[in-house]
Amino acid sequence: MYRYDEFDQTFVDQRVEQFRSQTSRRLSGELTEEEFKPIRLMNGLYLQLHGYMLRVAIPYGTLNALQMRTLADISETYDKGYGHFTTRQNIQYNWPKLEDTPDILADLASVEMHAIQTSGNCIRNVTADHWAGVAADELADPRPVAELIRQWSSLHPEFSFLPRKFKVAVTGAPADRAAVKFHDIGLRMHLNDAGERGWEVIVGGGQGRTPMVGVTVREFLPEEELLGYLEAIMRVYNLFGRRDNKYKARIKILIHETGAEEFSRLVEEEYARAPRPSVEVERKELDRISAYFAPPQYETLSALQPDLEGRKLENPEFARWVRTNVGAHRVTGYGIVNISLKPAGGIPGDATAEQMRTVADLAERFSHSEIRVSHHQNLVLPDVKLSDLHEIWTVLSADGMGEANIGLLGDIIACPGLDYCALATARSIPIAQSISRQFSDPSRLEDIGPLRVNISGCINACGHHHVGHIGILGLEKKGKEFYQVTLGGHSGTDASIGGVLGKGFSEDEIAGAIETIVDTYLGIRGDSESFLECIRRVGTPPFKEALYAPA
Amino acid sequence: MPLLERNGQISDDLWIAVGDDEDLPAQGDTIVSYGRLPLDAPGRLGISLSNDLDVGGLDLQVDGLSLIVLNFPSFADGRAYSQARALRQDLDYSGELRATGHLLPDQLGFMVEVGFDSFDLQTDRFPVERWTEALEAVTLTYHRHLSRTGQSPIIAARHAG
Ligand code: SF4
Repeated sequence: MYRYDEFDQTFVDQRVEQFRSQTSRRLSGELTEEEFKPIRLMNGLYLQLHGYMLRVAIPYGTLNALQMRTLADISETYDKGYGHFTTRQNIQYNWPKLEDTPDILADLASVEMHAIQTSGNCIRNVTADHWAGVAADELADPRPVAELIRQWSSLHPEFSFLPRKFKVAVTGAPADRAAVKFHDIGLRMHLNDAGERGWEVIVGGGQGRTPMVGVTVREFLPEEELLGYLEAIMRVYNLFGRRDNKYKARIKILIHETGAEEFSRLVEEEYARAPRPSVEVERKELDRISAYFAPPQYETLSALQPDLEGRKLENPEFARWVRTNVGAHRVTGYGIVNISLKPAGGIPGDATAEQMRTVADLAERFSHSEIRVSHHQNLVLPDVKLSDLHEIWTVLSADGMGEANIGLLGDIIACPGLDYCALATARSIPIAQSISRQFSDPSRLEDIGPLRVNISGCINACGHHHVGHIGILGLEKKGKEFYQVTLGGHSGTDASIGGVLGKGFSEDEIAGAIETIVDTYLGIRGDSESFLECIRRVGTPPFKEALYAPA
Repeated sequence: MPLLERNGQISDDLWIAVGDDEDLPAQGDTIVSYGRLPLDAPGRLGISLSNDLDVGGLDLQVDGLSLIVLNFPSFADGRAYSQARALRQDLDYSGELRATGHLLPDQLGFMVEVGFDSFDLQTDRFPVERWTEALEAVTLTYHRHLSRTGQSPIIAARHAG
């Protein structure tokens, strides 16, 4: 993975000192809260319901064992001994003190990490396929480009005061695990006939109040032109994006209001006009960065693993975990271990300091020290020998991370909701807990098959309920929380936005409603037809009927 | 009101801002709004551009201009950064570029990088050192072709020669 050179390190160190001075000016009252706000936000510091929250960047979800240990240490020294992994592959601490944050940032900088641009109206921490570099279906590792974008967007002088936040995601695989159609800019790699890499540029996707699937403005942009082209898009957005209404300020609204064709014309015009970064230098820089992502030395292993097969026969629980949690690696004899942070009744994405250290140890022993954070709020050990799976599973299970539910109904995505978030209209964590408790039988989960449940605590949709196969949106009426259900959303290559079913449900009813939806599906599904395929075939009527018809 | 230059010097602002319905003074350097061009000025001529103008699309003759003032109605409104860049790069403007409005010390680094030379400090809320320190807080930049600051572009250092 990428390592800082002297420039990256100096840059981050200076930034820490700058924030130290800014924080002391806020504490002394020289800066008003209004003026401090954009400054702290650009360093990942939010003000929430109960106090500050610090969001630390894990660029494109990749980190090493040492960094994970530092995250664990920080949670103990400055917080309550746990952290929360987010849908943007970051980690949040919910209880830091303002006066401690410069020290936290300094600790992070000592292991080549930062919190730059994890919030605020700027280009946010770039996300990527969490299986990048190891997935069997991948064309090439997208992380060199993600790192290029991370550096380019860091404290960008022209684009640090945009109309609204700006999110970029990249993927190098045809199966979209990075939700590239739901980002302000999504980049998807393609190869041309000569085998050269280029990027499909998708703009204006997003969730929030107005969910939209992004539109493709370039089918195949040569890699060396990427930054120049991104600058043209950013420039059009910075100048013309709406600033009169923060709910209409994302680039998707600009594209919607100007029309995709006209927007694309403006970008091309800007791109033709602006001086561009030199293509030769960009190539050199990409090559420099790419060298850090060279694959590790893999052993030549057999596809046949009699020992593993024996273990699976002996232990059906282990066999199930291998089926549900281990992904196909591009190298024979290796697997991608997905660690569920979704125990039945737990808080999705939370990990204790001890669990973080356990994962760091496992990464060191079994996965070239590398760890990933997925946007489903789980962790990944990307480079594991199949022969080590049993030992890893044993260690994970002993530490509450052995749940066999990746991609299944128990693997719920939920935003922090009313337990933490000042904008929330309803709680989301307790809803996730009650559903995952209700669906905790692993054999039942496996029988139900792939099913994504996403929960947001308000219409800002941080829990991505629009793209949940089952989406749950928490609302409030006359002081009572209630939950609206959508069906049929999906964030993959064939993306779709879920449709609302009907009247909402109370907190007590919601798990039962999910139960009814699942039973209805089980009753009508065709042979090996997934939940999503079934919804796409039959639509919502059978589900409405089951939920709302008078008994 | 004090004027800060990008080298950290503080000076008095001798330019005269002339309102849209006022006559030009008989002498002195004057600033008018863009809409009043073309215009014969008694001394040096400067213009002020509102931040909703698309500078790249304007048919602006920058040759006769000695000063362009860009506006930050709020520190959070970042349009003038893109305007500054366009003036410097698309229109090759080489005269003085000044920022006015609601500025914060913490933004000076960005402003210098996109091409501003001077800053109209409309407030005495911050001690002068705060502004001058801010000019030096971060000495490195990842950007490709902006940077007029003496900040070192990292990309150039990495791939020198
Ligand atoms: S969806 Fe709403 S409640 Fe949930 S984190 Fe976002 S803003 Fe907060």
